[in-house]
Amino acid sequence: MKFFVLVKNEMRENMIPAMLCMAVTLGFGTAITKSGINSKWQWGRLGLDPEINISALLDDVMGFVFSCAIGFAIFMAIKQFILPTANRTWSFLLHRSVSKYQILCSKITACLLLVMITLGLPWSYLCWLGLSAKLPTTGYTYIHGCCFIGIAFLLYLAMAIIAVSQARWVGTRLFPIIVLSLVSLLFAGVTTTIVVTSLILSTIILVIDLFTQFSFREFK
Amino acid sequence: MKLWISITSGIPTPIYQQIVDQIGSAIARGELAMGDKMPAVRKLASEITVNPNTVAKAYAILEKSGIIVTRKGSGTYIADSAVSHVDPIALNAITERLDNLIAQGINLGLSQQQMQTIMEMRLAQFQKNNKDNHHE
Amino acid sequence: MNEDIKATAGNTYVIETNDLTYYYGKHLAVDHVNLKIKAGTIYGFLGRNGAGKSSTIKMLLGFMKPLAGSCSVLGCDSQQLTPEVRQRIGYVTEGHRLFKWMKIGQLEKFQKAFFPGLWNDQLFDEMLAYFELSKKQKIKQLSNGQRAQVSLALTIAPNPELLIMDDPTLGLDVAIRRQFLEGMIQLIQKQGRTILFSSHILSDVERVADHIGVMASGVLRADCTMSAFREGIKKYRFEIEGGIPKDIDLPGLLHTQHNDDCLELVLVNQGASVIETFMHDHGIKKYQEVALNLEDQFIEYTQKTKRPKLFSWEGAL
Repeated sequence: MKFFVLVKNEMRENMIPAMLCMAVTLGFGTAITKSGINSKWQWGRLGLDPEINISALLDDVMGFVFSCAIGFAIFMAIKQFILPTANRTWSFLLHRSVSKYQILCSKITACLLLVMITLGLPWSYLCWLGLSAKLPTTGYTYIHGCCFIGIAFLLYLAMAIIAVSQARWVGTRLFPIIVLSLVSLLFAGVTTTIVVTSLILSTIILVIDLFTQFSFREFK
Repeated sequence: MKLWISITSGIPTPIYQQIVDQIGSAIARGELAMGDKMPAVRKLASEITVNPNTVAKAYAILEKSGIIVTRKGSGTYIADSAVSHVDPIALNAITERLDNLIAQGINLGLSQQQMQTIMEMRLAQFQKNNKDNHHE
Repeated sequence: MNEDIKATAGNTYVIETNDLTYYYGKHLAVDHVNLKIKAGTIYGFLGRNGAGKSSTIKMLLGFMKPLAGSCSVLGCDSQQLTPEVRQRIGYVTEGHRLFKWMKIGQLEKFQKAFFPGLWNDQLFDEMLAYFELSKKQKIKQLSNGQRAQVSLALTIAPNPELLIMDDPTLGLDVAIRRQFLEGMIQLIQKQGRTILFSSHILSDVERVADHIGVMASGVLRADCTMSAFREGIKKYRFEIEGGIPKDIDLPGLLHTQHNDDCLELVLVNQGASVIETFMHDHGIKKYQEVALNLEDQFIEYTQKTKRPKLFSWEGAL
């Protein structure tokens, strides 16, 4: 019950920016997809580009959704982990009658849910929209888009770790960025399975690191 | 009549002493009469926004001096043997004279303890004279 | 609702610290502080800015980890405060920081969820009505004083067993400060409640605190009842005819000050006999006790002197 209240609180606090992001993603995303459909479908239909498939259609909008995701991730990291320090509201939040890990977990859960709603739903819709072009389809395009959204979530975790960490050694503070960079490199020319697996692993690593840093953190 | 106590913080007189003094003055002015019920410690503490322990300390001092008395199950009352109603103007005059005497004593180099001792001796002498007078 | 806490006996220590120590870098902020606060007390935590009061409070609540020593509240180590114990503690943060984006009503629901079964709806509503605040108002629209009032209502409504307040009346006007004091007195009337509050405003502390702790440069220099402190620190002025005595060494001597013909001594917990002996030894005939209020006493006690002494308050009333 208390955990639910915390998650609800985090989501409510960021509802307006989230809805804004969703509107932008959906709005511009739809425009890009539709214009893509109109141009590329025609090429395919005329047989002028036999290679064209759904991926080519959705590449542009996938990039756009990725940008929105990055923006949203940065926003959430700042809102949840940097602003409370600046506004000194940690004390109030930490004095909840729950373990402080539940508080951290509620922030992460809320962000994950918001990312899924704000970016996951629009991306799903855009893929469905793209299907109307009746081009050869594989499921991979959709998964690739989700992976990009996943990378944005990793960025959120990495920024959170940097904000929370009090470690004196620069290496500890930069560790999450290194993980992130390594994972991103993998995106070039490897199978989808490897990408998804490494994303999941990286998420787990970063979440563990975040919890560890949080446990050492002092809130002065 | 209602007991009206006004506490000032930030002055040299401790708060419990202010309560004691003001209750004493209220009795002297006739605002509190023998047998009047005193407000409960908690109630008074709440009214004047002072720690209940401080009020309790003031009540304890008053009880020790015989000015108030606690009856079990009933409450706290002004004792029958408390200072009887004294004309406030006369009381002022006496207080002024006492102040002068105290000043003179200090100038003479008497310590507080010495002056208290003298006062007690003279009071005792008065009481003795009183008793002797009654026996005659 | 049974508001009295029967489990807490009068002799239980609600707050205990053991050689509590904290450094900010090289600066010793809290220096081996040993504090013991009994249930049923209003404890005023006094000290100048940077004396270490806030750091001590943050360690008590588990927000900071002591570098040495330990501390516990309600019998539970501060670093391992369980949710069950946190529910029994009310905390007013420095500056009354609340979530700016919320309305008062939303904040009420949020706070209520963390004190299940303890929340007093009627009390909260009454306090809001008394402060003339509506549940529809947004926190960011409130003035500092109004935010403090909301903070007070949110903290008192769950009937906390222990109330910890970090400089709750800083920057607030007289009327609101009085409301805080009234709230404190109301809370303490119930059985087994304890309040710890740090403050600069000595007149407030004098009214409501029955015990005080004086921190200076991280050291807990006094830990005693309010009346012991008030009665223990006395200042005497002497008329000197034959030159100021040098190297005055009296027991309990806190501070000396003199000009050509007048010597002032501040003594802690000494009787009149010490003064009389001193006067006799130095042929001084006239003296006067200078009346001190709490602020004067506090300033005398926390002045930086060449030989900082620790005075024993053991056995003081």
